[in-house]
Amino acid sequence: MQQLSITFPYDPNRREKKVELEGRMVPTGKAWGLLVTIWGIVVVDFLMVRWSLAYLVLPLLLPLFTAVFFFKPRIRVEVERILPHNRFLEGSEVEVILRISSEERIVGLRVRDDLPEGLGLTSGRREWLISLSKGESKSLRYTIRVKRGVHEFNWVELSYLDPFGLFHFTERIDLYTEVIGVPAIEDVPTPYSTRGTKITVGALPSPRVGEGVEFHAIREYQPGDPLRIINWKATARTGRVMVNEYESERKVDVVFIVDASYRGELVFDHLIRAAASLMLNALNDGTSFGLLLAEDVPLWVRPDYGKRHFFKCIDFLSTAKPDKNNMIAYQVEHLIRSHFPPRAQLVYLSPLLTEESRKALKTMASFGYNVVVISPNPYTAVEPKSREEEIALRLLKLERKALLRKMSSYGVVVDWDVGKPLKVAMAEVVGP
Amino acid sequence: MKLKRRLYSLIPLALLFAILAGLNLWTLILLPIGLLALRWYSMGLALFLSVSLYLIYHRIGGIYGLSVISLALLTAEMAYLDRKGAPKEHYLILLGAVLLAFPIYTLMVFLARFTPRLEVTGVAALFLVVLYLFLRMTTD
Repeated sequence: MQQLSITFPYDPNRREKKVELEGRMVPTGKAWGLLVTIWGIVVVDFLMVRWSLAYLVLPLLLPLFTAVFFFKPRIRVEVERILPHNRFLEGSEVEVILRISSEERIVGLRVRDDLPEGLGLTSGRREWLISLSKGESKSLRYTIRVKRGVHEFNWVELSYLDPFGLFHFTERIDLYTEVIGVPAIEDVPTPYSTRGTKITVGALPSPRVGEGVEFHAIREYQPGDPLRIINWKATARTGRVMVNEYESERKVDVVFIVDASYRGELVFDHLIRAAASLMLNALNDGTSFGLLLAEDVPLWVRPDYGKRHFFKCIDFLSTAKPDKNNMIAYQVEHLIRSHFPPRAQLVYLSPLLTEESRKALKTMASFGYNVVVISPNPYTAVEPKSREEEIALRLLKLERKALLRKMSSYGVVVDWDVGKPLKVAMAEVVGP
Repeated sequence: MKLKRRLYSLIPLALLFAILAGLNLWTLILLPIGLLALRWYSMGLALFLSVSLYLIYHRIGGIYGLSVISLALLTAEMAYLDRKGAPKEHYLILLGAVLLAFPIYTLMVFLARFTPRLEVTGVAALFLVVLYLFLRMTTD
């Protein structure tokens, strides 16, 4: 899959916090283990009437005393979490830097960073034991792999520890950083099944005659026609001044409708990636596009142009989750009546697994819209583990094939085997 | 293959078993516990307790006994510091604290020359009181 690089608006995602904490040292499990061992040895000494060997516990006692009397629990530090941006393409690796500066000497400081569930640690670790001298600053680094969605770092845990780890004083401080994993984007052309209908010049052939590159017909010269469109060969042949006529090329509004039904959870990420890729194509073509994210509460972004609009839609796609939505047909019908631009190209992204999602497609077609359905096949995302599963999958695929054939009377249906790039699946149906 | 953690604790472990083997080859039975101590602190304490029981049972004390005990403790504690990737300074502090046992022991021996033998019991009793106070202080 070819990955496109897009530059997100720079947002220096830096948060820093100054903390001054002082508390009481609490014995760790390790300290209790050591104390019990000391007691054990003393008791054995007495039981075996070898009490004169009680001094053997001296090497154990001394670290305990050293920890209690020489190390005071006070933390005066400045903590800062640094990330290069707050938006990253899903799957990319990001280095997180935790910078700790101390205003006084700290012999043992255990630092633990919050790692949101959706982020995987790829290198380094999120827990460190460090020493800081007065005025010293240390940068602790680790790398994460970003998944699609919003991920929140909420805290940093600081523990003052004596060098032996026998006593601790732990505080969790609030340090908020937000990371948005945006869907990975592929280079895919938008599959149009309609002609250019807007007044603005674009890439699609339109039913109107005008200035363009696509030849339409020859007609007689009319006063006002530019001289460069005169067809000299036809003029010589007919004896009258003839000119070429061209089809004008126009734009069309594109509306992306994303079915966020939980039934399609298996291919939901593919669905979102496809929507984001097609949106980038629309942005590059200068086409206006809108988005309907059909979750439980539908999210409608009216068609517009430009990068700002694109990033707005991408943000919504990044946070999209499969939802228990059985209202998509109603949502689509309501928006068609009230908000959808007339004669727009609808791109419907749905695995078509629910009756509601199929009804929504019928509704779009019944209102006269040209619809292209990008339907990721959920059965291609499953690896059969046994012969029985393989047969079951084959049956399901056949059933789906029959269903899609029925649905193809309402629009162009792209049955997408998610193991292949979307571009290939679309080329099979709508041509390269 | 690059090891992901330090293994400084192997030094006291090797020294410990070199000393113990010089005393009795049967002590090598404890080697598996010693190796497990590099991974788990509880195993370090088990090693420490086993070595202590052996020394107490055979009445082995003095600088020799103290060295064996110190090495067992250093194995368990240094393995903990290895696991945590602790700064080098922490190893020095640990070494200093453990080695402090030797001058204190020498002082006790020196004092015992001028005081009745009962004083040794007194010192042991003092240890118990200190331990009791220490426990009260930490659990308060």
